[in-house]
Amino acid sequence: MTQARKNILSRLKKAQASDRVQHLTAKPSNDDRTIYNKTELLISKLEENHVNVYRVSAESWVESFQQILKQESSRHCLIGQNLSFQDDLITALSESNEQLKVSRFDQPYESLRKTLFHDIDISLTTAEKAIAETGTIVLIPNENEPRTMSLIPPIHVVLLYENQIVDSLSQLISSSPWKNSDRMPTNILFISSPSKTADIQQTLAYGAHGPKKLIVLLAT
Amino acid sequence: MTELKPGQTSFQYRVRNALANPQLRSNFRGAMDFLRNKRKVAFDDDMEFQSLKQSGEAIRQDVVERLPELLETLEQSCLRNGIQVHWAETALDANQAILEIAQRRQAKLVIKGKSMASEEIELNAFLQRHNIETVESDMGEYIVQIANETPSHIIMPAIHKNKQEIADLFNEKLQLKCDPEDVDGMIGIGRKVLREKFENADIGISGVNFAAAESGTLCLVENEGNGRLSTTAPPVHIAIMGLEKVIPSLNELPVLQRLLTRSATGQHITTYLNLISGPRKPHELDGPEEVHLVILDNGRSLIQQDEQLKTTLACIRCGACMNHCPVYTKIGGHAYGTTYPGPIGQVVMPQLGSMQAHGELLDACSLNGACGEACPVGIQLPQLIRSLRNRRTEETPSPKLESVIWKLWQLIHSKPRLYSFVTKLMGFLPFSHKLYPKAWSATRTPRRPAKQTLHARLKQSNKLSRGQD
Repeated sequence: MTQARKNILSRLKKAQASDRVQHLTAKPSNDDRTIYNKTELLISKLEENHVNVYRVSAESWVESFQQILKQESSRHCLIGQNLSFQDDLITALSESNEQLKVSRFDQPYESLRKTLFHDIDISLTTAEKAIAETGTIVLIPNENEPRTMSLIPPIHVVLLYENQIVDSLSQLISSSPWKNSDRMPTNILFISSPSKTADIQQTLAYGAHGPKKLIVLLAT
Repeated sequence: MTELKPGQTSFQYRVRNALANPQLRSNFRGAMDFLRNKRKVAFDDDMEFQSLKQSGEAIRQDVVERLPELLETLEQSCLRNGIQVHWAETALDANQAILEIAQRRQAKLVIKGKSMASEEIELNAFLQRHNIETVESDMGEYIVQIANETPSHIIMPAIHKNKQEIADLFNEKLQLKCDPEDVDGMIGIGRKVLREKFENADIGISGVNFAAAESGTLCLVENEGNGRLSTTAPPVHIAIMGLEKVIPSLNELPVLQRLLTRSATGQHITTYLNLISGPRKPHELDGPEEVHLVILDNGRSLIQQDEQLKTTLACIRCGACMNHCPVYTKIGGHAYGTTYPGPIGQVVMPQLGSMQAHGELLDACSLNGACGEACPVGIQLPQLIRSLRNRRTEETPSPKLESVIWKLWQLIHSKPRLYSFVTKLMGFLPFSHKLYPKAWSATRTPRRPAKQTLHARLKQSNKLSRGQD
């Protein structure tokens, strides 16, 4: 394998030596248009892409979440761990709905796998940011909210705060603390709709492999 | 299916069969119209498209110039992030590297996200020969796999089939009664079958859309979530990339992502953009224990050495060139008989493979230029096709009669007096319309050349207008 590496690189370098360098200038693309109402734009883009958005207050979002659980007839809800609101949330949920089971993602995926694939029907995660221009939720999964939480359960609910909204992907990247650093998070996710496909005769179908429903609680 | 006629090549045979299949033609016509329209709507502002295209072109050309340096940086960053890097000179090297990992892990089941590089090296067949079950998880790829076919389009692999054909396929292969009008139901079946595979797979394999060198980040673009599952659920993730997929850093991602998804499917962004920068860390609870990156050469470094053709490597595999190609639209992807069909396939295949094996594909082009206009990173595909045609003729000179005809054509067109004489003569000869080659005139009414040539008419009208002054 080291021989392969040597051979490939030496071929590529050979070409480079004989190069007439001809540089095109990379103009910054004009995607940095000022967006006047980020919140409105985000909501309309998300709704365009089949995402259910609920505007909630930062104090009472738990009540809205309870309503969603009822609406969706959820039986088993998965939340993260070490979250500031988790104890209040668990108390509130178990008081209001005795049928509902609430689990925390507090063990390795391997021991939770069966439950994740076959039992949990809804999950709640927080968001890192959101991008108004494309209607995108940004997640940086970590040990408190692992990545499968937004992937395996059929319904994914995201708690997003209005002050987390940025204009565009380029704005997000250029202002991010992890840009070019050697402390890149293992995984960064940009999610813009429920899982979908148009692979059968260009017919759009939701719930291909990931969540069938994506719900955003937008807290002010 | 017609029979292979004497003297007919297998490419000509496949083209004839495709053209004679009205169902296939209507499937492609419908799909191409759909994709072209979606792209047109997504790039509703031409000024914006041209400016984005210019940025995209600059980024990708710069990558092609700086490939060795960027690949070395990518390798270092990946290693720092805990991603193991494998260099593969050939398809076999890549397959062997993947097999070694699979054998070490005693893998029995491999689940795959969409990857054209894995199609290029024929990974599925290779692993299956070593008794490792390999399952495609992209819905289109899954359909193609159970039908025992290959993708007919690089973005939408099952585009050659309609709902009815897919329902019939599911009925036959999965013994399930499917209603062709119930697309949600059919997708639901795929979801159920494949979720079980995701749950139990030993290895997940994916492609790479862009690999950011500076941060060691693999960027994957998709809608279904199968890419995320393939790279997250199994204990091992192997990503395979053509070496040209490297980009300097994440700063280049916004422009390229916009160009890619809008050109491919007319989406401003796909459902998922998944940035992977390493395996599961000690304190993390999910994600693969091992992440491997296979960097595939398979002829690419030779393309880079070719001053005239190296822009081939700027390609971001969006498929816009095939969506806009009038030939691809009529004959479909399978007629090409190669991993990459359409204009980019015509350019890539004779270079990755050989002119002898794939040079014939270059005939399937009318030099109309649509692919070059559609390309979001400004690759001059028609020029590349012409250059390759020239080389092909240098390698294998055309038949005597053909070169005599072209010599004559050249002579006539470079001597104005002779040209004027011959065009006049054609207008008067009673049998001139019978001189058309049969391939042209068999399905078209031959046109009689006008008695008066265009030159003569222009001269006359100029005289008239001068007379009026």
